Amino acid sequence: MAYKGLFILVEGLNDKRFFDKIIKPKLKKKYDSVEVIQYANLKKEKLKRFLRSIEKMKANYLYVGDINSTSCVIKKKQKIQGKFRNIDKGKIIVVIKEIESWYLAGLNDKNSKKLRIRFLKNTEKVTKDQFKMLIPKKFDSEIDFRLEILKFFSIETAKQKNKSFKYFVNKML
Amino acid sequence: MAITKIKISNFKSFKNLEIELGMLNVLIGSNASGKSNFIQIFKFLRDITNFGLENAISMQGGIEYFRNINIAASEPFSVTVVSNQEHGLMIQGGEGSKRLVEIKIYETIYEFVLKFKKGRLGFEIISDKLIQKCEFIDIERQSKRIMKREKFDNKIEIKKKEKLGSGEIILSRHGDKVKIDKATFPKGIMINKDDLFPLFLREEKLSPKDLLLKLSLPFVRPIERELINVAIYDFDPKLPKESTPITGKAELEENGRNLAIVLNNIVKTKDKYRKFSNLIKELLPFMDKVDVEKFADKSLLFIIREIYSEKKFLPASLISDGTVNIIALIIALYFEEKSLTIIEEPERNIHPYLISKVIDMIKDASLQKKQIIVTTHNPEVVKHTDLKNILLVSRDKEGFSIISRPEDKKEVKIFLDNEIGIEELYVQNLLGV
Repeated sequence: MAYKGLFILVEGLNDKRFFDKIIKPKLKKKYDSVEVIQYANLKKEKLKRFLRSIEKMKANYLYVGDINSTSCVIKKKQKIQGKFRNIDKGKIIVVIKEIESWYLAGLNDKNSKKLRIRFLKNTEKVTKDQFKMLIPKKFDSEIDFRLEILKFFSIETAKQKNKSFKYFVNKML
Repeated sequence: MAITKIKISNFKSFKNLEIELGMLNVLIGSNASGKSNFIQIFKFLRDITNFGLENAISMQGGIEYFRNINIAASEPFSVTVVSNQEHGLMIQGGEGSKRLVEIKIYETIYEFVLKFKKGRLGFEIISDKLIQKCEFIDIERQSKRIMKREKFDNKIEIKKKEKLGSGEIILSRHGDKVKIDKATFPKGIMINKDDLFPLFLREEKLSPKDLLLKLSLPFVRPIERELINVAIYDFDPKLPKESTPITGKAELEENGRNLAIVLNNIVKTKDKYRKFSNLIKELLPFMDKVDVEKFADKSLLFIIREIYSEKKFLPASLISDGTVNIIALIIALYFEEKSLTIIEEPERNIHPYLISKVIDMIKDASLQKKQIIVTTHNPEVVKHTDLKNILLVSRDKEGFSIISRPEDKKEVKIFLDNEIGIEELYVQNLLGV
């Protein structure tokens, strides 16, 4: 059987942490290898070369980006396509609103209480700054807080609280 | 909460230096550019508070190597430290007044100048000054009588009322005594010199070789505490691999030698160990457990268990240098309560792939009220550091060390706009153009 690899291109370390801990283990059965690559520090030309190489080796890839202030998913995808002409629209995953929304989506009421943070029924409007304001005093490290969230993360709960996450899970897992 | 500015003259390779510092400062520069000499400024200031001025100069190699070799005694040595650490004092708002005024100090400037004796290796203190910029807040005092065990006790409740304005207090050395040179207050506040600086403290004498920092005055103590609370690390991963006597220091030593003792305290505390375990697994996912073994000769050795072996622990002596360095780094960043943490080459022995995560942790720790300075030669560190946090140390035409910010350079901006990475500019030695 031919080699089946998946490359997930994510913006920064917070995205990488999420995909490494939550998504990668779920994809291991489908693929021979799953690699999560950060693109924030890659120059545009280098990223284009990455995409070309992945296509040449006939591996699959996903390009993950936050919707941020863009008005809709279609426009966000067009923006990304404008930057990288050789990118496949179907392989772009748009996170609504930022990766922090996905982190919080996986917490149910009980686990939110355990972490001493407010329970949110829907996380589609949560921004990075709002996420930072939720960090309880007992955490003196944002990284530690994010890692604690991921320990309690439930994919089923997250699907109910964030549509963009549900779309991604239904498409990929 | 931090040292915001340092100004120094005639110190080691520096002729004149004035540099503003942020919460995170990444010091880069060629070999022998003066990075370590910059770090020595903080060590010198810490040594003064710990051991006194004469010993601090001796610990820099004596006057000969403390000052610049070429400038020598022709110019004095001077240092100015600016801190934005806030602290407050309560004083009576005037003679016989029931009014309480809070003096909230928001900036402290401490400076001193040493003149060297020509032809001899002596010095004298020619200036020693503390300037405190403050806000004055009127405090409303309410007295309530409460009954406690059949006796009446007075309980005073205080309520903040209003800001009265700002002012400045300047203390300096005059011969062997400390005097208030200037005290400016907002209009309407009557504060006596005695309220601000009691007579019995004014009578305290300073020896000719001692600085203001030596006196335990209410105005001096906060800056003294800030200068003493500096940790400088230069980890040697070989040392923590040996067993440590349990009688060692509880705080991490400069070279990391007593890592087992520090870890022993962490593994015993549930929440500390939870945090440590999260952070260590973030960098080393194969790490299952860290523990400390106690031997009959009253020494400690740390041990680790990897996820690949369920029962077997590996002793520190068999652990890689990079793993030891990462453990020491996490402790320095997250478990040592220091106001300023300086780490020499934190990326030592660490795989390039992990460097972005290490830098992320350094940034994370600097956001938690901990000021950090790191030195590096590594382009990966430069790549993952925000440009605004980079300080470039270089030598000028006369050989004196200078520090600049690549962020301020027009040429660097042009290179970056043209998609040439900061790390490429660093490797090509173009950050100083």
